[in-house]
Amino acid sequence: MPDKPIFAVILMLLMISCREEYDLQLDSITPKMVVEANITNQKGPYLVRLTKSRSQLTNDPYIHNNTDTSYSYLDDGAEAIKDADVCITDNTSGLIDSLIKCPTGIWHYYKDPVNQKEWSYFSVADTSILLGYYKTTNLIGVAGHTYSLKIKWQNREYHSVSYMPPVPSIDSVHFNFTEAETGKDDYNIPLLYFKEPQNERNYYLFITPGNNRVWPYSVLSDEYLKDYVNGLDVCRGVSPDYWMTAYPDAYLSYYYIEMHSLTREGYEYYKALLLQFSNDGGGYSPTPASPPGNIDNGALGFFKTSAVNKVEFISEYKK
Amino acid sequence: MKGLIPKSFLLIIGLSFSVSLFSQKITLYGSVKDSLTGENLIGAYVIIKETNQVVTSNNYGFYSITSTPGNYTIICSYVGYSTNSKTIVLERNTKADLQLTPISKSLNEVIVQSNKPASNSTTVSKNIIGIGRIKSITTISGEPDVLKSLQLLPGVQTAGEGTANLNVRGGSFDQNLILLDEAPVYNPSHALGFFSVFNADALNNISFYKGAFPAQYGGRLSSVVDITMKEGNTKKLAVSAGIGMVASKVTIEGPIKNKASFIVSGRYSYAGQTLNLLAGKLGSELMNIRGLRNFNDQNDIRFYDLNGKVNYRIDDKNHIYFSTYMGGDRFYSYALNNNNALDWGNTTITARWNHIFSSRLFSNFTTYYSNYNYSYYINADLKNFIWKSNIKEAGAKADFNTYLSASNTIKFGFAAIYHYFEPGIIEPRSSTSSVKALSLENKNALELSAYLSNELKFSDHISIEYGIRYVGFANIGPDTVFQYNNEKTQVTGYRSYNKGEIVQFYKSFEPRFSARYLFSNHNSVKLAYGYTTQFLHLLSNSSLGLPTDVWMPPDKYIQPQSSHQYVLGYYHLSGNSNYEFTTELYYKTLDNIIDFKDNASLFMNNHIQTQVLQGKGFAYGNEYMLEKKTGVFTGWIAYTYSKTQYKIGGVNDNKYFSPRWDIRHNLSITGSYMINPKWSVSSTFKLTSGGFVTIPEGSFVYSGSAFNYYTKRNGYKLEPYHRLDLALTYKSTKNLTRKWKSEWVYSIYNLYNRKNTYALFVQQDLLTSSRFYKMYLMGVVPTVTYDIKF
Repeated sequence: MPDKPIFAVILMLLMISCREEYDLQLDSITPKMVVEANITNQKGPYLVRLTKSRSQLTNDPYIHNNTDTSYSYLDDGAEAIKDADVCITDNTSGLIDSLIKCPTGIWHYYKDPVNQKEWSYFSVADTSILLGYYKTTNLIGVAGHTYSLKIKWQNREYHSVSYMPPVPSIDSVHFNFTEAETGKDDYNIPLLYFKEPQNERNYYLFITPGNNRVWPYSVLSDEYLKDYVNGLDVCRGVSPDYWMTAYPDAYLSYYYIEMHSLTREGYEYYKALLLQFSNDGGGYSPTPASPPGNIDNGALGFFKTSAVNKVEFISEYKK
Repeated sequence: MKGLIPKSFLLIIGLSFSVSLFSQKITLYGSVKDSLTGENLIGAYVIIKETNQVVTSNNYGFYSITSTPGNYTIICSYVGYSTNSKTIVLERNTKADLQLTPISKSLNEVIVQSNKPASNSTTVSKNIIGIGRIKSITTISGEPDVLKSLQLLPGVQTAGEGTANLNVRGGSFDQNLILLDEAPVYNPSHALGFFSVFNADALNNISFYKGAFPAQYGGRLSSVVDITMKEGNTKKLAVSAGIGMVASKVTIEGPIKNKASFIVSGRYSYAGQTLNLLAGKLGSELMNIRGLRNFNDQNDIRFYDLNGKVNYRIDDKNHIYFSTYMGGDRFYSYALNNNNALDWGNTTITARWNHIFSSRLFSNFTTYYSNYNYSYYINADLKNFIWKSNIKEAGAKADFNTYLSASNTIKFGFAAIYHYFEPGIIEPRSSTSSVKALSLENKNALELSAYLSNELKFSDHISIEYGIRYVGFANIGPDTVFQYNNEKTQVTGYRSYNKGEIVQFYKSFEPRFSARYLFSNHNSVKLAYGYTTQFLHLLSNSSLGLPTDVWMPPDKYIQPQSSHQYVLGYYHLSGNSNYEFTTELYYKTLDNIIDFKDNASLFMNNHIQTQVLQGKGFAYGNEYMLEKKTGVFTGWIAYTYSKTQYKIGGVNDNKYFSPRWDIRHNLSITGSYMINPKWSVSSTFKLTSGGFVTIPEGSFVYSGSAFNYYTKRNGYKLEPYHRLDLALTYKSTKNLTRKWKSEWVYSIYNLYNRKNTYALFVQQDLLTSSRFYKMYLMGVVPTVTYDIKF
């Protein structure tokens, strides 16, 4: 939505400038705990992942080959924290859920359920085996409830409290087809239609199919939205290669859009994460800063509580 | 405070009259002009040889000198002009217009020099740069650039290569008052700072003040760039034009009958087309630059400038001037499926009336209007919206120069300025747009100021200039002022103000002082102090700024910025006046400087007060400059050692940190040499230590991607910067005989292709891994320009 024009500027700057890798070693520091906790109103179990921050930037992810499924799995290289105690409380209902460790990791794979085939732009499938997960046992997320997260690790306690805002229901999805000039890709943009509550400030997170080059997240604040959102062109996320999110594929087959409600803190957090994809180190873009998390005691990451609506669809190429 | 003011004003008047009581009352006055074009010469010296009295011409070329009756030799001199000497019998008040002829830079000509440069004036930290010098400094585009030339002076830094921004003595780039014919220009840059808005062909003079300003200037903390447009040739119709790779321009000037003259100058840049062409050709195959691989040649960068001025001399005592500047930019990025564009532009209009009340009282009345507007739009089918913002200013000023005697000058004046701010409007551009109209509340403010200053020469050795400036700044309703909780995270209430009601009032009482001791005709020492307040601030959380950054007045929460500055300088002029050496020490404090919370939200934010942080800072430095102003070789060497530290609550753990432009060592060498009447060469070399940037403390993985976290602000020092530019100018010998004159300028920017770090940034490489990248701007850039004059 009304993005700051900064993105256009950075893009132009990248075009007229040159860049090369710069050899810089960061000072070694004690790692911080990184929390990635998600509760939704969808079916559980909900996952909390705990990892450690690292004092280098470069991480060469390696690929596991799984002989059973013939998938390749991409490891994100984050060092897992496997010895923490995690519990989540529903403050509204009083239910306390002590999470259990997932010692073997969680399998994430992505397969097109409609066409029954693997969908990827790249030779490496977007699948991974990741460690450091904890899952809930009986918690059921409800929009309007408030949740508390408590983590005990190495004699320190980390806390966070978050409210789960409701999310509007999605009326429909339509495709907007635009024929591009010769030599360029046509656009076929899925548009979202929904009724936007006007009497309160709402924030949304959208997730679309991603891959290992596209981080498929985008955020939206409703301050610029009309009461009926008459076709929202949902951003396809961000990528280090900006053109990868450029034109929705005209031949796109399976696609989904997840719409999550966000708290104000959640909106600020994801906005800051997204900004890290378009920074020039503080020339035209703001001085880089840490994303503002909602967990105390110096932990990084975020405790996100969202109500979710998801639409899945197949688009047909129409001219 | 209010009671103090009249007393101080009275003190100045009393002091100056007590000195002037003994002087006789015969005055020689008039103006100093270029004999070929009739342009006013600003800052020319008028000297009575017998009494060794010296005065300088003011911004309108006016001078006034008082002495006892007698026969005198009047010497008039100005840099780059042959000195004019004539005998005048002074019996009664006499008007004498003095004309000087420029030295044509021919080798055969004997160059006569007797100018009295900076060592003679009482003002410190002032540089006057001639247009000729500016035109000889190579730039990346081949276009002469006023602000980029100022960057070669000691004490001036930049936060990045390519930008036209000035960071003067540790200040930020929004602390410079840039005046074009007395109207402020809010955004002096085109194409994101790669060019400055001033078309050198339309300019007469540039006076640059780096601190402890004379009392007539105020409103910004760091510097004043006072630019005067040409009046237009009063002798003959003249046309000049230039064709370059990035911009082309044309200037027409001439007399209208014998009492008036005009100038119209236009410049149009097609930087985008040049870029598209270059990027398209060089993109993938030759240079294999990652960003260019997917370069889209529908990107567009364009800008124009239009300057116009008319002046009419009603009689010997009245002269009116009308000048205007209009400039605009289009920055169009065909990125993604959203075509988005930034448009911005300045407009200034100035009307002035010079009235000579008497031989010793010169006055000028000015009304001006300045408008800076900027917008951004996305042209995608359904996110079709435009965002607009602007700042307008209308002012009326009266300035008086009273020449009580050659050793006693009083300057005083008043000004009233009305400011209007439109911080932001969003409008859908079609009925199918899912964006709704939204606007932030507009702000109004009234600024009233008065100044009084007195320059006294006690003897041939000692002179002082002291003055005061008083400013009152009122935010005026309609307005809504919100109340917040202590952490400023929540709105707890608000108060509405009616139209015309005073919302907030700030006042500032600013003493200025400078003193000079002249050891001999060649050596002097000066000491100065100045206090300045800046009411308007720019909401920019980047160090280079975007054209869409919003200007705002102070309010209940955001205090005006202020600065104290102390300067001590030594000035030496060589025996033959060919070389001038200057060194100055400065110490400066900054209060209420603006910064922002981490990840601040500045776009369309009605509660901007909750995002702003204010703090303090200090800067000190030692500047050296050796300049050769005349001869076949001209140029300067400037070196500065400086340090700047800021401390802002909520930034860098509340500890002192270096702003990005805290550049410790700064060396600039620039010069031009005329090899023969056909060829001349000019070159610029710049060497600075690195600025400071923010680098992460570490990285972490979140939702499948790597991100970074930060603790220290600007904790990493970049590697040194250096660059050599070279330009060759060829003038045909036919120029001497034919009516029209032409020249070719071949220039090379960054001759030895140094990859200077423009920025150091972290970028995700794969999603789960990020790397440091060094970004550098152009490598070696050759340009060709063809100029013609007739």
